[in-house]
Amino acid sequence: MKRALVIEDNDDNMKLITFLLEHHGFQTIRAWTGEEGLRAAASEQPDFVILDIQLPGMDGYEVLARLRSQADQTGRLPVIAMTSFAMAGDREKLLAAGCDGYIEKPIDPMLVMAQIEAIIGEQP
Amino acid sequence: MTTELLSASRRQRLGNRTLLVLLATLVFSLLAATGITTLLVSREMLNHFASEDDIALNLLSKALSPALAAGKQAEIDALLAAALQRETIVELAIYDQNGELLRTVSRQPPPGSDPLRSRRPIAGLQAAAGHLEAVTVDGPRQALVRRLAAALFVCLLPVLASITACSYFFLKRLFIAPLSELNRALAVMGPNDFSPRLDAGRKDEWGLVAHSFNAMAQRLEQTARAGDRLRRDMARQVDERTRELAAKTEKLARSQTALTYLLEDVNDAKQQLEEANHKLQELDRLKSMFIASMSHELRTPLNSIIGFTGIILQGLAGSISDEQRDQLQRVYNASKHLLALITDVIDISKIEAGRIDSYAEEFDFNELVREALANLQTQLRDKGLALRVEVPAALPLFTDRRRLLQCLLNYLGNAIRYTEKGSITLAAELQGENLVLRVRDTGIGIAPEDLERLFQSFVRLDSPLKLKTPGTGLGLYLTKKIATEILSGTVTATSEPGVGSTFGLRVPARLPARKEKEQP
Repeated sequence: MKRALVIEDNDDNMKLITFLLEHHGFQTIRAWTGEEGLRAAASEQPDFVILDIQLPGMDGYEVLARLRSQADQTGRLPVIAMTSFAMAGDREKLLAAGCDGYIEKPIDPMLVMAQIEAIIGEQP
Repeated sequence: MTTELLSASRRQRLGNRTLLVLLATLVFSLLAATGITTLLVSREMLNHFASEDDIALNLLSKALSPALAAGKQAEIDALLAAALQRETIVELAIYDQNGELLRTVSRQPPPGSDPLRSRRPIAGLQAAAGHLEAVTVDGPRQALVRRLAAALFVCLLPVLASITACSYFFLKRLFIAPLSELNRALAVMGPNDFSPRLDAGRKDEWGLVAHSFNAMAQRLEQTARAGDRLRRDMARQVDERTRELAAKTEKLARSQTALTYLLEDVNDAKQQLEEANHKLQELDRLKSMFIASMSHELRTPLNSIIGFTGIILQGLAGSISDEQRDQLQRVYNASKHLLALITDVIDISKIEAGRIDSYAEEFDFNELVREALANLQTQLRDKGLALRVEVPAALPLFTDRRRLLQCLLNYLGNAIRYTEKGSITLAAELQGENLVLRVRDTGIGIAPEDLERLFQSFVRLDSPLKLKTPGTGLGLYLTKKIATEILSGTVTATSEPGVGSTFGLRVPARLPARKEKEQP
């Protein structure tokens, strides 16, 4: 079973995305801050990361940069960015920063799993 | 002119008169010469007569000398008597050397005569023997000469006098008087008085002069009057102009004052405007900040609403009744609509604030079509509409992918919304340097008069479908904004009511580079 690390500070969003992931057969690891997420990424060995960009304190870009700076398996984790700053340029910036995919908030439960599965390229 | 010449020829009489005066002068000269000659001749004659008496008395004196020395009384008496025979001698007396009267003879002198007493010596042996004293008077010849001379003078003088007087009179009349008159007239004639006129009645050259003078005076007077009129006119005009100028100056001054006030007002207004503009810019900035903030704040709760509603609708959270599904579907649709509305409003406000720049990237149009279809599949399926895609297998583009997708979704969304049956066609091709895409439907169509309003904000045309089709009224407005201001292109719309509509988009296939702006 694939393990997804979800880094998200908003409780509603956390519940929504983990519910969908779990319903689709993924195991989820929850982290509420960037630091927590980085620790979990190192200790829990997830298969991919769903990363909110607007995080309090350390933001998504910082988390992404730190993940990518790791020399081991953690540095190569697939990362799907999730942001409500759905503006022109965000997509390019995120992809340039090392994201594997990009989901706009608000997420549509009818479509989001298809998007995620398309990005990580396999079924759970 | 002719009359003047005629009168001139008639009036040249001065020459004749001058000749007359000259003749008179000649006569006068002759008469005067005659008079003088007469005077001189008469005097000569009188002297001559007087010298005859002298000779006679000298002879007597010589003759008496020996008689006196001899004391011959008779001889002396004879000599004296003989001498007294001369009619001019009226008295003779002999005095001795001592002055004693020796003898005297005389007779009665003629009446009215002028006696002349003379004395001469009588020569003796050694010294004078005595003196002979004689009294002579004029003889008849002298008297005649004197009378003749006197008579001549008496006759000549009045003639001469009258000739002189006549000459004077004529000369005066001929020259002096008209000259004086002319002089007086000339003296009076001046820049202010042209009234003097000469008597032109004279029938001589003076008449001509007077005529010419009068003509000249008249011309001068006319000229002067004309000059006066001109001067008065000019003075009046100068006055008028001066008054007008003064009026204009005053008006100008008033205008200037008004202008000054106006300028102050304008400056005030400008300052107010600048302040207002400043405030507006500040407000605009605040608005943009507000919208950016609202964007996030509104989307976050919508995320939950759409997300959980979607989960329940999908039956992921357990089974629900049909009624619950129907109601939840309405909640889901409404929140999707609200999300679309918020997204459109935010996009428009950002475009209008110039805060959105294009981000061009390389992609193929077919990718975009696939993404759009994934989005619209449900709606197409729900309405049972077929979508025909007429796009070349490869259609590479370099433009703002996200914004182009937005336009495409908008056109396709509208086409689906307003088409009840039939099909929707998406056609795209490269025309020169442009991508031209068309979305054609077989929907209700749009009346020609509505086509113009189509791309305005919050315009939703009245139609039987309006109430049951969701729409923000911002879609086409936003599409136009994106197409023109971000993608540097144009939008078109043609329609035939009841047959269908075609919406077109023409944008550069390769978007020109733009200066990148900082995103907030």
